[in-house]
Amino acid sequence: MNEQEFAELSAASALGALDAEQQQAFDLALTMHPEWRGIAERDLETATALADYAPEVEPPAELRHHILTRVALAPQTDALPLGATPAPSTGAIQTQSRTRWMRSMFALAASFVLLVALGFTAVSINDWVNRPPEVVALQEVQSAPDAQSATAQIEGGGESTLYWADSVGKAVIVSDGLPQIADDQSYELWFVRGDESPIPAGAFAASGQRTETWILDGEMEPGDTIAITIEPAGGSPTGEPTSDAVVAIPT
Amino acid sequence: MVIDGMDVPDDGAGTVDHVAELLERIARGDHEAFASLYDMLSSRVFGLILRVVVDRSQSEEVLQEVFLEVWQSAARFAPNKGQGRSWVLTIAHRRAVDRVRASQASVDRDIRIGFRDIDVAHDGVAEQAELRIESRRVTEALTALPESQREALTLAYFGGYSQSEIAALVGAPLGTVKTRMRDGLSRLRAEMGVAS
Repeated sequence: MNEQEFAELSAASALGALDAEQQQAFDLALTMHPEWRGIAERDLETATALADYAPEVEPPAELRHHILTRVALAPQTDALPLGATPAPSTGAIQTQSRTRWMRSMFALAASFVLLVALGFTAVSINDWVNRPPEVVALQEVQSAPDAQSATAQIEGGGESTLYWADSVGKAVIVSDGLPQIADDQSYELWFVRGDESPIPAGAFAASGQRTETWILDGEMEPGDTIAITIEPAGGSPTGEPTSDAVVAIPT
Repeated sequence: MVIDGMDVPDDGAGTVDHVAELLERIARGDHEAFASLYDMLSSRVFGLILRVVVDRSQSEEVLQEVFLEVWQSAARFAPNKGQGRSWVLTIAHRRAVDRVRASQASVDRDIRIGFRDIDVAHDGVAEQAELRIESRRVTEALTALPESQREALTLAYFGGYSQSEIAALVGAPLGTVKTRMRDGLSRLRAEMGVAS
């Protein structure tokens, strides 16, 4: 292949107009001729400028939450469920591009990021070693072969996602965008089970962070709906919800 | 002047590649940097994907794939090889084209985009040209191209067509289409004054 032929391949590659076979020929030529790398980079830069010919379009607001959640709770192996709708081809890219080394680095990075998502602004090794119990529980649940998740919208915006695994016997709820509460109030979790009165599953003060992560207190049963209400500090004194749920997640 | 929500000096002097900075932080697992990058570029990226993929729900899936890939491979971004923004847009474009090739029967692609698109897009872009210096630059540059070159570039970049498909669509020999792409891209670069 001479430089003239390469320039044609390079332009077409930058525009995304090569079929798989031609693309291989292009990649091979690039490997054989590092001196042509500049041509390829320049073409890619020019072709990419075409992107601005398309008008900008704001994506739906809920996608932001989906994407940030998927990234923050990125699984440590390819097989784990993610709560949000998985894009089918993501696994394929991961398989292609991630070596074992990359994978373990990624898992490590994901752990760090999880901490950041939970509100730790300065993440250090120390933070990682002293991961809060809900983070450890969440990772434990997500690593289980029978991990499941369910998501529901919070009243007034935001989402709560419940992660659980029967084999682990724990459930963790991650909420993004809960309504703010006063100092003398708590969020309270409930198991809503058939006709029974809701069963308290833990009361939590606001952490001051946008994302709240809690371990459910008590045994979840199949078919439970998990609800969050806003109650007086420490939880409802009567043992029953005193307000409407701000979110309810059927399982 | 404001680009992607960032204040940028009009003469380009002292311009900081904010996206590159964010990518470096993302490569170290910085979640806040990722959220900032998303807020800065998601409309730009989604607009591009939508133009190529057309179908809205598929475009939303591709948008997710793109940002996940950005997250996973930010460490591979090399600041000395180009702008961070281009790097993200390159991923977005490749993903969008992959999706179109994988999902679209060729039947409805002929009318989907391409020739028709060239004229339609002009009006829409002209409106926002006041606001967006990048789109004004590329629109003016494209307009300056000979029609056959412009057609080859837009069919490839926005239509997701391969060289041989374009040759069949426009009824020109494959060699001619290859030449038009190469010359069109060179001309575009010259018109836009893209640094080589």
